[in-house]
Amino acid sequence: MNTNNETRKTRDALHDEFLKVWGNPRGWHALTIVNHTTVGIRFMVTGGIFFLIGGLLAMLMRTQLALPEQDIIEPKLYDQLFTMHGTVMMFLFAVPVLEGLAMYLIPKMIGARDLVFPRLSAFGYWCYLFGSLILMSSLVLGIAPAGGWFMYTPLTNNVYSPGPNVDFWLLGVTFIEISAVSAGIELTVSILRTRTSGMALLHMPLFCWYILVMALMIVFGFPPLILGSILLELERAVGMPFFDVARGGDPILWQHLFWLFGHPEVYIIFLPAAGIVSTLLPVFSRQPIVGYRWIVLAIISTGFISFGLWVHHMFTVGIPQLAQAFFSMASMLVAIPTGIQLFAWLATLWTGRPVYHVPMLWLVGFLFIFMIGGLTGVMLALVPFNWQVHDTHFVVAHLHYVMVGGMLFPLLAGLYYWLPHFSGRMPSDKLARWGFWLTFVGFNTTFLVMHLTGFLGMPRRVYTYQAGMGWELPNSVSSVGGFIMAMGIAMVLLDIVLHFRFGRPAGSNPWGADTLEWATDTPPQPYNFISLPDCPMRHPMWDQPDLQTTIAEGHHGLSEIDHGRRETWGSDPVSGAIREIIHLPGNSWLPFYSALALSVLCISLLTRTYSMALIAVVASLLLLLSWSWKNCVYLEADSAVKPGYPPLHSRTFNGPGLWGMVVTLLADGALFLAILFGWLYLRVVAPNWQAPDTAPLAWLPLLISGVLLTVATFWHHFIVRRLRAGRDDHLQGQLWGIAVIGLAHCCVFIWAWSASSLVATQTAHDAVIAVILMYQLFHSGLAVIMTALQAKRVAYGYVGKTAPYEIAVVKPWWIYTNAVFWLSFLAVIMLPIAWRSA
Amino acid sequence: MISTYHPMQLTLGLIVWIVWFIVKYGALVLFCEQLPPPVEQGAFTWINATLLSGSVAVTALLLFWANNCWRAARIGSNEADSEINTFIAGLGAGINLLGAVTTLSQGLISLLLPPCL
Repeated sequence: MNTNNETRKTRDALHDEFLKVWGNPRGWHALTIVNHTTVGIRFMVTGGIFFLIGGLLAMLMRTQLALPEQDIIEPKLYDQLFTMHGTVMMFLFAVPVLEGLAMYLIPKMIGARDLVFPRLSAFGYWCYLFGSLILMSSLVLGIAPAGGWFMYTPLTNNVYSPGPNVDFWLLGVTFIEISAVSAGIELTVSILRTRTSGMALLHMPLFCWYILVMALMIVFGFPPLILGSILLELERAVGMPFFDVARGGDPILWQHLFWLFGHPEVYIIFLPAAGIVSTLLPVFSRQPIVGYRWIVLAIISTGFISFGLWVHHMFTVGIPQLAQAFFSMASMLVAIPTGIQLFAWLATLWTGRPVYHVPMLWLVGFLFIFMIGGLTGVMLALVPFNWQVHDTHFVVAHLHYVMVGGMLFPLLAGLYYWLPHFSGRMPSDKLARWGFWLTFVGFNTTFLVMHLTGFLGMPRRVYTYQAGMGWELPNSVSSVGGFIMAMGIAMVLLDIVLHFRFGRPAGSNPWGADTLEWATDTPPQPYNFISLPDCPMRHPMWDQPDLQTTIAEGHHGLSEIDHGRRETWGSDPVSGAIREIIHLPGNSWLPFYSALALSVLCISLLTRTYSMALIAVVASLLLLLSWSWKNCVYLEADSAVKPGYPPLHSRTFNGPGLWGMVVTLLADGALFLAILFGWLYLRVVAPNWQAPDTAPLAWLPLLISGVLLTVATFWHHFIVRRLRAGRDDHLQGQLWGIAVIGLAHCCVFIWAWSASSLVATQTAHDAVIAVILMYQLFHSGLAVIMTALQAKRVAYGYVGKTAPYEIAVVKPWWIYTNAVFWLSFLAVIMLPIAWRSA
Repeated sequence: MISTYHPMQLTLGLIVWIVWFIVKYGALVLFCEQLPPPVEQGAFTWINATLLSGSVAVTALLLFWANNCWRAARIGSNEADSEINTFIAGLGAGINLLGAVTTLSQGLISLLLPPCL
């Protein structure tokens, strides 16, 4: 008894000490919280609210369509409703909720205490919230976007969509996408670099594989739409003609940019949901998943192949048959990895001893619905069939079978599964089963019959239809089904609300799960784990049933907290061997203020008050620079670690910041490639492309500017090499020298631009070049600022041979900026010369 | 070729496929814009021949890599990290093979359809 008491005292004492460092503030200061558990829950709750709003919009549309020739909703409002329904469900619900779930779970599953860039998580959340509120405000004001969730041009240009409606979409969604890309970077680096000791790639929970691929897909998939939105907003606000045929643009370019994002988006949503399935099925089948490696193969290949399908959304725009066939084939091939997963799940069920708790109901519902969605997807991949049902309700039915079956059902399965983890209480079995059956029956009643509505020829996005077309009955059935489904969702909601008060206590690991997130308290503490266990296995909770106790008693690694730092392991991305201790930042106002400044910028651009926009840009820049200044790098005396432990990450060259920078540059590179794609596409395909006879930019000043940039890049590279060799003499002076050369490069560059004959509002040719020049200048300018900041930090002692981390982080930025310059030089200066002489 | 145990093997085969896919699509658009062959030639054009031969070459490369990875996974390595190495090589074989199947499937279509219609 005495031993038990002493053990409890030790646990409580450790808990109190950890809470002093990791605890969350209350009141207004709760806005400063950066902890992944809180941020993840905020994402999920906010996304859940937007799901209800999106559902309400759907109910309004189903009411209007229930009977023919109704005028409950006027056409203009109906246009806004279907546009906002799609936009809300895709951008404000599906992606953020899944990101939130991933943010909540990933550190717990990989045995870490937090995500690797906690302030970025918080910043992402605030960007998401403010962007969503800006977008939703348009609905309240009656000026919501009305061009469909994919905003096709020319419908959305200034001529056909005057007023701010489209601008709300372009600016709001771009703002929200900053959040998505932040999460993508955050999750990628966290999974690769913060797994607990010994968790090699082959031991990673499958959910982490799914999230890793999803995060990388966000990194590569979102930038084309960000670019498209920027270009369309520039066309609307400034008159730069990227999509205007008369001035050398092409509206089809928008479709390419949108669907380069839009099709991977479907898999960005599907993969985490499939990850939930692969996590839950083994638990309820009470045996390990069948075919772990096959599933990993399927996840990776789904991620890749999904980028080769985008044109199947554009089969009717007039692309050559052979090109269509390439995309048609890729669309069918993506069924292979999906099939692999499906068979692995069925085999797991077949060979296990399944128990049908509530989460399993939703999983079985998923298998049924998603299979139908997959089959109609293969039908739509066939070009002749696609032409027949294009823009009919068949496509609406298919989309909902894929999205609801492939995302909502697994999400609700996951919600019920992890509910005890969120709250420490169990849901009501009876209410939960009512919720499932009502939703399942309602969904199929709504959308199964909608395939028929499509076959009967009813186009989508029409606010009413005439009687006698044969569409009355299927529409009425769909509307009744929609309301049944709404009742089901209401039942689920009621169950969740009531369980916080009436649910029985869940205890620890109530489902007998195998993954590490169940080794935390339920609900979890902000620090997740008192000590971080070795985990060279796939099923830690099955192999070591006492893990929760030994972790809480501090028997594993990194259980010291007297230094007052927030710490987690930094590990090798392949083997999971420990490399360094990652020192994480604490709560901060900076993410909130930075997002607030950016939202002011967003509103200023919406209202076209450019002086205010300029102030917001400066404020954002200052806040973000301040953020980079306060970055957990301390002077030597404050960086001591326990003997035998690896160094703090700031004492290394290969810390998480470097990985964050590289992944950020991958996203940046995707954006740049999308610009180059636009340039080449317009040049080759635009029906009215207008290139001047002489080059608009003088090549010699540009060449001089490029040489200066290259010199600065090499010099920076040289400094990093010297630091690696342990030499930091004259470091500050050298950094100032690099900054000065970089500044000279910028000045020559600006001079070359100002002396050019470019008129960005005249032709698409000049407009695209102007965008490329702006992109270059932004990167060059930032390289100079970052290097100057480094020089100042050397003076303070934050950077040097003992703390070389930051300079190594800035190095890839210089290399990237240099590569962008020469590629742009090739595309804008050299290629047209070669073209003209050919 | 990079080591069969290098983590890049988890993506290499499909990176090669997607790069070839983009090149092939871009080349098709460019060729059809600049030098379109007569429609009556059907699928037997220099454009189709170029795309098909390119696809076959990329497929052969990917199959060669898949075979290397598969053999490495079966033999295993003597290093301390043999388990992870075998895992990577085995998966790499699958990724390269899938890349080859995808490349060839898309390439064979060039036998069936005229390029610029």
